[in-house]
Amino acid sequence: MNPHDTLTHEQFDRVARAFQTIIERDLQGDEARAWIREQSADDPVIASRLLDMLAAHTGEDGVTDDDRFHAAALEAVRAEAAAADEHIDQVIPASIGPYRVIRFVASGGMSTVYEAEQEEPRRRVAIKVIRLELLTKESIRRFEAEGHLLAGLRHEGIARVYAMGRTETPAGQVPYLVLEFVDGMSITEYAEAKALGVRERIALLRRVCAAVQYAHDNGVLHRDLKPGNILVDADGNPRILDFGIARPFDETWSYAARSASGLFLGTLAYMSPEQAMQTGTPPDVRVDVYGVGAVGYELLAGRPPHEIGGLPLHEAVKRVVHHAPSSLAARHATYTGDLSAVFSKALATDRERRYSSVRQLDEDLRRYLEHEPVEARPPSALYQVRMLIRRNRTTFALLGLLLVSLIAGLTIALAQRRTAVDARAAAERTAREATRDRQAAELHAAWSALETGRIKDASELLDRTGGDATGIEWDLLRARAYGAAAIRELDGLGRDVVHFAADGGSAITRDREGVIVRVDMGMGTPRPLVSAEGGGPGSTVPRGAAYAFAAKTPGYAVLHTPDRLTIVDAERGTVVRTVEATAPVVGAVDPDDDLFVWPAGPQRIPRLVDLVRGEIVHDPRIATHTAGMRLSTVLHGRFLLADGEHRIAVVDLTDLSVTRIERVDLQAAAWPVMDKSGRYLLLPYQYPEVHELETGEVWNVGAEASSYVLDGAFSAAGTRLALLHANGEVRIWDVPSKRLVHTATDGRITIRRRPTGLSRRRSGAIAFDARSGAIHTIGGGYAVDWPTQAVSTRLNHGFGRKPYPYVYDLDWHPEGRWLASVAWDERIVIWDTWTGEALGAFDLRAALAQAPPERQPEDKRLSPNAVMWSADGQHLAVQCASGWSAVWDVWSKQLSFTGPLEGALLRLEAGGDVVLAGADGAATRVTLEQARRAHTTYMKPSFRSESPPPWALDRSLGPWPTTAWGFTWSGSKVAAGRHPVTGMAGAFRVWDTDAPDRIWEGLSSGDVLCAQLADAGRRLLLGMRAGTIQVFDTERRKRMMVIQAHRHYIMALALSPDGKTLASGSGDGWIRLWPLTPAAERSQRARLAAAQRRRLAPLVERHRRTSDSLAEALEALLRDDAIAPEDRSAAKALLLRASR
Amino acid sequence: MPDAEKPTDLLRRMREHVDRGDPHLDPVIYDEVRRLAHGLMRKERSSHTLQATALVHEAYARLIDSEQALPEDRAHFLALVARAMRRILVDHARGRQAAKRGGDWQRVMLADLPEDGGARALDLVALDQALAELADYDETKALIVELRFFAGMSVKDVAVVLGCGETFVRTEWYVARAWLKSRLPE
Repeated sequence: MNPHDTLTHEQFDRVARAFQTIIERDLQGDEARAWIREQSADDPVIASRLLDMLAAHTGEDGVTDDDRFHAAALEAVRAEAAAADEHIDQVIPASIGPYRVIRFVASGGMSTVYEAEQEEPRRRVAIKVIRLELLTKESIRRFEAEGHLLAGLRHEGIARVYAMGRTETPAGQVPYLVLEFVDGMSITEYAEAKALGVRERIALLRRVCAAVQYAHDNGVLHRDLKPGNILVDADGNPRILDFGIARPFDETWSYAARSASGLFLGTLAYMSPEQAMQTGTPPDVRVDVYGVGAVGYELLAGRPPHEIGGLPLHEAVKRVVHHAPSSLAARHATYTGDLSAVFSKALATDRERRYSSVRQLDEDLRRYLEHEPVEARPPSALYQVRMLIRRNRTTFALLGLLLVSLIAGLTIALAQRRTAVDARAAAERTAREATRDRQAAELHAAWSALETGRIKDASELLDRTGGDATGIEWDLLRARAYGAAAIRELDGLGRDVVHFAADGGSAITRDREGVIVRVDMGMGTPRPLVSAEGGGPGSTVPRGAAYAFAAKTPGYAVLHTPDRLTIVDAERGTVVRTVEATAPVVGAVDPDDDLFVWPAGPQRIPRLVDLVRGEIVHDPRIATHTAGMRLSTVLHGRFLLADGEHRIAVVDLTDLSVTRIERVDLQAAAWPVMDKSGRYLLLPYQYPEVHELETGEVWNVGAEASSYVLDGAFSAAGTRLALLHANGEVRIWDVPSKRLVHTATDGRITIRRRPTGLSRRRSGAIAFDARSGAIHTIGGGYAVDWPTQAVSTRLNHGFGRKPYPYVYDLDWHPEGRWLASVAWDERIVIWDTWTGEALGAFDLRAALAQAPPERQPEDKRLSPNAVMWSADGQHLAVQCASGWSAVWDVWSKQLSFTGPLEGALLRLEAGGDVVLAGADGAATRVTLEQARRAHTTYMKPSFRSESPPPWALDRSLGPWPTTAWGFTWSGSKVAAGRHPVTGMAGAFRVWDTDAPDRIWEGLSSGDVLCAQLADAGRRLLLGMRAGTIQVFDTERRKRMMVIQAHRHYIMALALSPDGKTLASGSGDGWIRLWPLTPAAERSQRARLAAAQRRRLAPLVERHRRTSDSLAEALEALLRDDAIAPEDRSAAKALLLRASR
Repeated sequence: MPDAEKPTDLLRRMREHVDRGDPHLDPVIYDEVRRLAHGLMRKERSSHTLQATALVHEAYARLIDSEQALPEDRAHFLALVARAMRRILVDHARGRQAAKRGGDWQRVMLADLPEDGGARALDLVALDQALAELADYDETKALIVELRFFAGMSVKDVAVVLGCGETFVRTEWYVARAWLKSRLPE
């Protein structure tokens, strides 16, 4: 830009106007230049500017809104935004304590480092401060504890701690450490810069070893050794930085959070596998043995042990955890076996195989330098035995326990008995830990399978793990496993007729070469079936052949050519039998039974073949019902017949009743679909209709679609109908309400524009998976597993009500079927979660209008905070930020209350009375009558964020000093998050009502928007701004898992009363239902069984004592009226067990 | 763009918010800022979005700064957000360039900050100057560019927000763009 050719305003206006005309008239080339000459004849400055602009405008990339300039600008903005986001929170303080800050140096996971100047003595120092947003009592404690520990370290190889202090910030007192400022370069850079030889490099590494060993001797681990943390000053002295300060991610399990912070990857290349894997095993000195080894490896090999640049995080973690680094000898022929062995040992994946201390590593390095044989050797026999013991730790521990118990029994020495008890406890602990570690590892494997799109692997892993795991983590992962969409290209398959098996898990089709193949949904390559000719797998079949799976016998498939019917066992690849036909075979398999039907003989009398037994069933009665009509197909035990007059008849084979439908599309009649109960019949294609056979009612299911329906499928209960359209769309209809509830689509799939007339060819198919409830489609060369929650468990609160459809709160009806949601649109909607239907809505504005004017808040904003069902499910309440509340009688839809409630709504009692939390933290019960008469004032608008937590009703837990958000309670636990911005981001707190002083201050990685306790308070689920659900174990006080739910924030979480479904409400207006079944069910069953045992045990014991024999006791037991009939078998089992 | 059904509500909230001097975050305003920032930071082809929490907080803080004029309508509100974003990013770019030139960036602790290549497809500081010059001549054109670049809006979005025709916006945009291109060093 040349400042000298600045235009005057007048000149600019002329330029702009002239150029505008060029654009409006779309002047090009010479025309445009002529126009410019004409417009600016008097002013060469304008002319030159216009010509410049013209050149810029008609650049090489043509005239579009988004040209390369625009793209470049956006890219620059984006890059700057990304960079700024990293640095922006570094508001550099002018001074920290007595130190004058010179500049910001870096920000790590937990703390920020500044370079500063000290007055007395005058020197440069580095100051480390906890990041303000991570400030908690716990983090301060850890920071200061470690600071004290570090201050005790005096070693030339370790950057010294000069002082510690606290500084006043807006966020409160923040501790800081004053450290020696090291001016130097990293150890690897130094070695390169000085071109050090191998022996000099090893000597340098030995000095690092000495420093690390010194720290270990003083009880401090580094845990994050890497070249960047070891600087060498100008005099060649290495200095280790960043020693032992609490690592932020020690106890968490979230890779997502760590990768987001960007810190983890930089560290991962040097991280020991046990840290990378995050199994929760406490780190020991061998973590640093690995670290020193990794630094030494890079010093010698010129690259880190693991090259993980460019790998996705989970792959990188896998690499570190499962792969030993290639040996030094393999990297460089110059390194002898000895040196290579030293580093292989230091970097062993299994820490048992590593040097047990840095000193030992140092010793071996010394031996190498002094040409002595090193200790490091390939794994020995002893090692193999140790590994065996380790792998079977529980068994061996029990063996040891047995020995100890024997000795104890002999000597009856109290001390030894105590040992035995301790040993037993230790063994149990070990076993528990081993189980937990294994579960964690398996869950992690499932998680990474999910991340890499191996959905089927993940679900199999989860199904396997599910035997022991009972946590909600497992449930959530499983929900996701069955919820993730997977699209697989079938390489030319799925363009011919496709038939799904009855369970929806696999399909059968014909490939380009004519080979009949089986496609398993989820994974695996399609496998060829045996051919109709019996020529073995891979033989081709002619084009006219048809095929389908038998419905009841898994793996049986039917191939039919014009003259023969072949039944094959697709699992074994064998022909079960062939049935020769006297007439051309054109028929169909009943989707519900192992029956094949074809019209035979001149009268086209339907014949049925039992596929398993090979018998031909012929019922002459059928003929009388089918005269004049042509058999079309058989569906769930019903014949479908059609004639040329656009009529079809449905004959029920059980009672031979006939239902006739007139004026149908005969193309549609070729591939009709029926629900299992035989109530609804879908006729697809151009004018897709569903006929309700009993009532004769017809409804169109294609009105809004622009494309043919190729196939449809009814859900098992018959309440949902999924349609596959030729343009690749899947549309889900709610059958009872006859409403379209969802459209799912993927741009890649187009199946066919037009179906080919009456030919019985259908090149796309859709099915519900009986196991997962997901929807599968095959067509257009793709197999798709449509996500469960996308197609069947999403409820759109914001339906047509934009633009800010935040779902603020959710509450389940006590019976567990209905869900109430309240959202930005100022409505409460009640959902039937079984059908996905909205049953009704309550309008908040209307309720507000019914309040007398003096009971309406001055501030008429309605920011609904909470929606709540009464304990009996008869009433529904809402409370807004102003304190204005309303209570409805749900079934009569009458408003029971409208007006202010002074206090946070805690509970709605049966009958509609409310329990409120007052400003003092105590809960009060208020009848609606009292509330109506009370002279309450409205609360401050910021009520929500300042309200005290809802204490357990009989006891105050003391107020939480800061802002709180999203309360939840379950069992003896009460939890809440803090306000995302004014409180500390990500902080939450868990109270224990049984032990009021046991308060856990937790920290999650991100902003907590809502919280939900689950599993009787053992688990805390947090809904995050980032759209994740984080799961914490409130007993072990650590994070178990982070589930990436979606990208919108999660503002409400509600676990259904039976624990089977988690509902999440989010910033995009959708409510998602996460089906969580087996684990919850299992624990519920276990609880019920335990309760039953407790209840029955005294009764059983009484009968056992008072009876002479077992038989007598049993008889007495069965005659005992105190034992309910349904409890009898359990009582019997208890009795038998007790008598054994 | 969500349609502008409730702009007044948004603005009322903001005004009340600033009037109250409420240090607490208003989720609706915050979300609007966040949405804009994320729209800005979404890569075209992947749906990957940076969380940009710090950036959003910063933009929010600048927006709520009581020195600032209160928005009169939705367009004004969005313009203020885009302006805040522009200020932050340009300040940052300027600081970064200064640091680079100063060469005072010694290698010290925690040497593994994510790589920041430094070179940008386009010099934001130069763009900012050119934009300031353009604003001096014609504020509408500058505003359109600002919304395009710093709020990541399409021409259509801009037309909706400003409540004028798409053709008008497009013409203005082409003129402004050609002007900027001719003012920026290649």
